Amino acid sequence: MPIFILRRFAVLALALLVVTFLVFLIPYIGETDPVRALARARFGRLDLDAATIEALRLELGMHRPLIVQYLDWLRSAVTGDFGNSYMSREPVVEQVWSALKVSVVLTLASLGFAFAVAVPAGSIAALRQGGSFDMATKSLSQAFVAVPEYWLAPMSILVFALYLGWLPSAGWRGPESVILPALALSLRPMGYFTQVMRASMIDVLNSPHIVAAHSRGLSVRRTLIAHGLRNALLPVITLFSVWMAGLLGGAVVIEVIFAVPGMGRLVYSAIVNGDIPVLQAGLVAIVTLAVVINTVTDLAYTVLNPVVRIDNATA
Amino acid sequence: MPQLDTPLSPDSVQGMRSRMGNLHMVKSWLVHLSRHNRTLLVAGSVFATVIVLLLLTPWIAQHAPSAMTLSERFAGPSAEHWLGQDHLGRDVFSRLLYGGQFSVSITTITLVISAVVGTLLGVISARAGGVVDEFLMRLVDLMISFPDVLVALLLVAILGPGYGTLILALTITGWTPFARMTRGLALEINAKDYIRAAEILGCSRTFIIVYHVIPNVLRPLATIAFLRFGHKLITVGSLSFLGLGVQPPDTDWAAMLAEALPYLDRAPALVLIPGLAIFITALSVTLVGQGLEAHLDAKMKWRHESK
Amino acid sequence: MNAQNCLKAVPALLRGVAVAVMIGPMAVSASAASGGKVIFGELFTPASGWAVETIDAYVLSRAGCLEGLARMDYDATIKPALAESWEQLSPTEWEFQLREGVTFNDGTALTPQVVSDQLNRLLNVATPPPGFSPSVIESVEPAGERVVRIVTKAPDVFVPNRLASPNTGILSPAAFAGDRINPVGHCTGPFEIVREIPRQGLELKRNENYWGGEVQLAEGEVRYIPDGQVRSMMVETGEIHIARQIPAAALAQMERSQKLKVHTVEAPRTTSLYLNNRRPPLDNMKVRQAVQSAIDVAGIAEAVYEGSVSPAVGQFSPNTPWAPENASVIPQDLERARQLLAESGVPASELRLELLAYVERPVLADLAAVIQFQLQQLGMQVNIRVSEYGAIEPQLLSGDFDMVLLSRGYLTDVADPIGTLAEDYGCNGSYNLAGFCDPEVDAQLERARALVEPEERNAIYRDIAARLQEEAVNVFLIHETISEAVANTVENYQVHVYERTAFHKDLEVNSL
Repeated sequence: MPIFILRRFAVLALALLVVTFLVFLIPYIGETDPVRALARARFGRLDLDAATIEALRLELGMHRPLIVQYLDWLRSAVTGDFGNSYMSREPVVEQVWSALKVSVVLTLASLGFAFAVAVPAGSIAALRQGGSFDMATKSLSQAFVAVPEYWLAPMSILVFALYLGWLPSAGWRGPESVILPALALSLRPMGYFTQVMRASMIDVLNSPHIVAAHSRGLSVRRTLIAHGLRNALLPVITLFSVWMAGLLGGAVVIEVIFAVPGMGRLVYSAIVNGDIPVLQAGLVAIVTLAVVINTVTDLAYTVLNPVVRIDNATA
Repeated sequence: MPQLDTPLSPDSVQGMRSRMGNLHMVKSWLVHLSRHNRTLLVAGSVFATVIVLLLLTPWIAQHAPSAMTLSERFAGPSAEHWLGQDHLGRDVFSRLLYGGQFSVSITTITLVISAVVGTLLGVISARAGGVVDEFLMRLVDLMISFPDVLVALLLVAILGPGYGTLILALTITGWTPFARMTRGLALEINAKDYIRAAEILGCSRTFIIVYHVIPNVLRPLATIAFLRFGHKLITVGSLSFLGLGVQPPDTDWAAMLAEALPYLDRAPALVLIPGLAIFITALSVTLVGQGLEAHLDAKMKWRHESK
Repeated sequence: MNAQNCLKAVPALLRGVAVAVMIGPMAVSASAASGGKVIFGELFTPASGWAVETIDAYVLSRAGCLEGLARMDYDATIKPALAESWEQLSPTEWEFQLREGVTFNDGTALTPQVVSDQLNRLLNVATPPPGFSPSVIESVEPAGERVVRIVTKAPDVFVPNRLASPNTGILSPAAFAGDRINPVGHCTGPFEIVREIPRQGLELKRNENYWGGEVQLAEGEVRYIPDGQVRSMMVETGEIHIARQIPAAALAQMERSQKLKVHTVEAPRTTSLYLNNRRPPLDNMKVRQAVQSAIDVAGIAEAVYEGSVSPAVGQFSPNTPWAPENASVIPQDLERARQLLAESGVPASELRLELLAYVERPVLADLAAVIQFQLQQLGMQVNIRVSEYGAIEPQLLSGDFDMVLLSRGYLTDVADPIGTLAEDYGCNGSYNLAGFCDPEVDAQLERARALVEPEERNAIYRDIAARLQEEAVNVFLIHETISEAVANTVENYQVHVYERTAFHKDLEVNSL
């Protein structure tokens, strides 16, 4: 087990090195002069004189050779100092931390909701295969998967905020402002979770030990809860973790539409403004979380299902 | 956004492989499908219709997508403009067709490249084993959960928005399921007796694997591609929605949707139509994928019209 | 010269006509400090750590927190603020008399030392604001108990204008104590910032000791909502009271709403199609005029901007003192355009042009589509490229482009168009995209700089504006407006076209 975790973190370190170095190159590969882009964002005007640009370049140390800048950044990053934002000159760690908290809440709310609906719906559908509930669940879950969130989000604002006035349309204050973005974000995972839950529940129901338990006279319900659910949940949990890692930084569209100050928007605006320190720290956080979530899921797998040896899980 | 479909297990592929032998089998399988799976048939026809319409766009669209009549903004459907006109007096039907070409072709090209790259890496991974295998599979783990919107954003920042950028970005995140599946299949074949036999006969082991993998892998590859299609289509759209995908004067469905949103109360159809286009295309292609998958794996009765 | 006289020295921009579509009378409430809370939907998310030299300062100004020695009123006149009067002692020397008894929220008194320290700090930052930089300002120093003396490098009549910019706003010295600038509790304005919620907004409360008198509102809040569509919707749902900058597309919907009014005022900003006059075929005046005649600016104003803007008559709006007397919109006339093209002698095969636009202003993409189509009718091949401004800037500055759509303010640093004219049309102008260069115009601009009487300067500007339009140096498309949606419950709110002062002491809200 420790070797397994160690190996995972070696991979993580390697991935981080590669990603951060690539990110570092971004502003220098494109057509945009990163310093000019920063200056425009700071002063909000298009015409800037050369002296201002050069002064800013000097202040940010962006006149130095690339590799020196990168090694400098790396040296501090290893000690946990990710530097200051080029834009605000404030420590990026604080910005990333506050954005991360928001994203975790949003992601857990939406996936949690999706999970809470999908598990019972998928299980019941599996128990009543071919029935009308099964058919309805099936059609809905297939339709959910095909609904683009950039269509759903504006529509939900229109209905729930403008017409009904039940919920705030945008912003991030108080639990009620979590509801709409989380709902808009939850539809597609809900569709996928439901499908996978139903499929794996059917597998479990057909598996020999459930059939055996049933024949021993145990009620279907008790059998299911005692043996079935735990095994059937495994694939859904895997999917959950994959979505979790993906949404932490990938809910850009929803965060932009709902003005949610999460990771997606932080990284998005860092890219637009060429704010490399923020971008670096943001991506380091996202990649690290992806690997950590991945590892934790694999570990959880072995706990929930001792049959799976770690070596198999990693394969 | 992450990987969504259920990964295909190697043993499901094996089950299929034994059933699929030659062209004749394929034909009878298709006949069987259309008889027993109405959903697949309907979804397949809808998707085929979409593709045909998009291919025939230059002949069907009566107007250039950029031709406008400013005085006829928001005009409703007419004989001249079947779906009405948008906020600059452009023909919605023509723009829908030209816009569809953009998203659907990007998605298609991406999936084809992803399948090729994924298959290659999958075979390499299985064949090389050891460090290479470990590295590639960790990469798969990482890429699966790395948000594809972010990859696209980064690449757009570097290369500027454009057709090629989007394809590259979506391929970088898109090859993983193909690689995983091919690897599984290749490992399985690797262990077979006939490989050893062939080796004794002096054939290169890699050649044999490729030779045996490619034919067997085509249908599962197609299945993954169909299952991923809807998701990729929506992702391409989200970039256009953010203004980083299609660039004017070209358009795509999500861009049409985005530019119509402010006029929602005056011309709701302008939002509904491109939204429906994405929905119908994504849904039909997903149903096709699920239909194929169901036949791949008899255990997954879920996607069957069983009974 | 005291403050009152100085006001006359400042061009009366947009006076009278500035408020183009102010809908609804301003109800005056007789009640004393009425309390209540106003929430303001801001489009810009400050990201420069409240550095005063950046646009973040404008957010502090809108929040009613940051004030400077002078302030620019709604009609662009310069009024006293933290300084109660000023005087030009010599062409390069100014003295500002500070107001008595002004304290920051933290109790620190406003002294000449505090002011001069901060203005000097501004001169010494890596990137000083263009309107108040060491290239203009020689020195700032305390000169007596309530006096600050400012010396300029060259004779300058605009020093009060420069000090009316939010970029020269004064914060308490304590704001600079830490390693970051902290505006919380460090302002002099009618409102005090109670709390900053990073990337989301500012919470405000009334400044009980405001030097300007009693403040009506008890509380306020600035919320950053970058999406224009969402801002519009939030003011309709009542989640916010004022939405800054409503996109043109949302106006029709807003105007039907019973709960709010849309205030539209003209901004000192023109959206134009900049033409590269250095490069064939646009170096040919006839070709440029043909382009000018082919574009339907009235149609653009109506369709792309929902009629919320007026078609351009030239560089300056007809409501300013700088537009020529007889300036009028050039109507679309394809016949004339074709004739001009024929006269130019440029073969049709050479009429392949690239049209650039940038994504930061979404409306420009629509505009580009319209212009592409209208020029196509003339037989021109137009390719559109829309990308981030940063990606097209190198091309613009090196003159490697044909046409570009830009929205450009013409009163950036001081309330006088001289800066923009010199930058955009002077031979050595730093933003001379058209590549226009005429020593005569340079001489005119030089002359204007030394003229104290605004009307004399304005005559020169009118002259230049007429010439730019006649020679189709650029194609001026529309004069921009700013539309803001304001809930009916809010009273005494006025749109500031210079994007400052949203929260002021007389702002009120009625509870329903």
